[in-house]
Amino acid sequence: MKTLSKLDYYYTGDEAYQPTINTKDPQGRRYDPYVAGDDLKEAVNLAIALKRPLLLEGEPGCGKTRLAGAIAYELTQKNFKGQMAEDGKPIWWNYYIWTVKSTLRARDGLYRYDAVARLRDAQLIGSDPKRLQEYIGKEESDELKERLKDKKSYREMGALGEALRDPQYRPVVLIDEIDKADSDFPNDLLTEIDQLRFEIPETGERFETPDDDKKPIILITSNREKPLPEPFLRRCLYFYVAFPEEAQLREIISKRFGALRGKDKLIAEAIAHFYEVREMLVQQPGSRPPGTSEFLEFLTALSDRSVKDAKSDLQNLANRLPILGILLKTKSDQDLYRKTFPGKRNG
Amino acid sequence: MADLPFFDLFLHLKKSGMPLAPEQYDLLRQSLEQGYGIKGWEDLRRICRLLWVKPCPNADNDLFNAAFDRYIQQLTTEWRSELEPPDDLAVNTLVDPSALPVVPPRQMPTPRPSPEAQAPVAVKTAPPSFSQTKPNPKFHLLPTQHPVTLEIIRGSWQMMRQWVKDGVDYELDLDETVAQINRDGFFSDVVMRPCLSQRAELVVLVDENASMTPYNPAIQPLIDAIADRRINPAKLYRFISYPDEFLYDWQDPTQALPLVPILSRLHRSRTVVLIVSDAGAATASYSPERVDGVIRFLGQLSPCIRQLFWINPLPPERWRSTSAQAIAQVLDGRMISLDPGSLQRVARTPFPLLSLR
Repeated sequence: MKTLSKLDYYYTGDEAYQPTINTKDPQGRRYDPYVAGDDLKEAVNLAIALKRPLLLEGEPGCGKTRLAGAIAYELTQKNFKGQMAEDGKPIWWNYYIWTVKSTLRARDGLYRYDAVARLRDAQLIGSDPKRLQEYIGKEESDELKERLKDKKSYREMGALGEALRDPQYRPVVLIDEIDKADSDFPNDLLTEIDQLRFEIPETGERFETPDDDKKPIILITSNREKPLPEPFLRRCLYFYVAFPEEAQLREIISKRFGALRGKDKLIAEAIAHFYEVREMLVQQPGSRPPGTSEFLEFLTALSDRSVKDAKSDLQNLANRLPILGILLKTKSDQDLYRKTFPGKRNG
Repeated sequence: MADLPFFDLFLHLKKSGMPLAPEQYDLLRQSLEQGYGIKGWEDLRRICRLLWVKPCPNADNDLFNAAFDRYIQQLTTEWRSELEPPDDLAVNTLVDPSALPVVPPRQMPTPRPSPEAQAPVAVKTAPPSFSQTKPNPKFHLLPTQHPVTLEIIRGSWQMMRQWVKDGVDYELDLDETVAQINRDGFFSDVVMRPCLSQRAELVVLVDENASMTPYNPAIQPLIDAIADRRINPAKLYRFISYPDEFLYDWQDPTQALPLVPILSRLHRSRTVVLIVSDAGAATASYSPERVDGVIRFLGQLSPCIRQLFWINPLPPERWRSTSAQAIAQVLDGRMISLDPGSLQRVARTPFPLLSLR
């Protein structure tokens, strides 16, 4: 591993640091090529330089979540390329994902403490050790004793806690869909986000603020389902991921669908029509215009068919419900589509 | 200026209403030190936007852009008056002169829009130049230009659905009980907590007075949100001037619905009532009958509900000396005009029981 000061944290999004389609890391997480606009790259680099979390908002399906993976992959390629860990597996950049759910509390991202398990263990040991051994066997009862001796064995670190625990360099942390949680959630995270330190009262452990060259790179995504509190916003840099321009969309497609070459005409037609559909829905309040990810799925569905079939699908989309359903997810949007583009269109 | 680059920009944006703290300025200083935002105005604008624009109504992109434009305008006018000939703009050391053409050349003197609202005075001037909006042959109002967007409505609704204590019941707090056993080392007693519920229901009462007709499109996003069940459960009713003994069905306006059974179905800890009415401000009239009627209605309503909003489509300046002013006083800050800031403010303040006659 390079020494700490020599690690390169600049995110370029260059071709050289892009994964091939469907690359997987040892934990089975998937990485795909990612096309970032210059504005977004600048936002990422500024957030890295200022050591502030970057809050990403944007239409669903615009690649907010996948950005963190792209950064982690590029940092791996830049700094750890070709290096192997002791067990002979390639080293990957530390990348922690915390997917927020509505029932989660802010503390869950740092750690969980299983007090019930500890209580149960204590009662089991306390009741009758001899009979206990009879029931659960010696091995397990020894394990239980060991576990009970150490309070720490009942705590499980969360994604953010893991990143702050003992970093060797600046890990990437993704807090995904923060707006899903209760409205107090972001406020409960303020200290941890601001000072990057926390403690676990149950075990008496304290984790102090890491040095500047070990502070995590934090990305937070939100779908704007709830307004985020101002004190929280003040601590983040904010970037709105806009829907890609046509040229950028073409680049995304060519990176994600290397195999589609030879169907250029079909793709061009699909893109043109896709923008027509978006145009129609953006004007319509309450509708949900399809995002990049829907379009990529749509193209995947088309590319599974022969060019001729795909072409006829595209021209007669109003009557091809399964394929139209990939782009437009509500009945009212689909009805509007049928009204605007009825029956067979001329390609 | 050398120590605190663009500090005047920071102050200018703060004065324009953006919620900026010294910490925010420090972020800009750090960014400049690291080489961000020094390649020209657009570069600086992007960096400031990243650092200071937030997804909330008082720090949004439009406000930022307008304030930033004003700053550049002011600066260039100052430079022009200081420097002769005007081609020599490149005196400032921080900014690369090649990046300056971004700033549109302006005629001197330019009428500068000030951030404060000014009283209109009839002065003969050149017609104001709308640099950003192209002159349209027809006037268009898009649904997206309504003062209250669907997003804000959705956000406020989420906020209304916060956890509240529901009734006098208590339930076992398992986590706290276990934590207590863990602390004490033995089991002493169970820990109880009040039951919380997250339910909220909305009741919207829309004034159907003729003076309200022009404002109907403005409340359309709300009506749509209810019709699409984005806000659910919610009920819509109509009334004229003030609700007397009847409210009227939304779908079927001729159907009179007696008030008392409707009130009895509302819930003290769940129901949020939204009244949309100009309260006489649109016609600039004061009607004691209307004020009395509204107060009587509010007296009946307030024990049955959790929260009340009164949206008046007219700005507060127009409420003066009309029935609206009298009603607004009774409502104590709950009558608001259509702006997202006060909508969220009222959503945050708990509703007291109005003691009315």
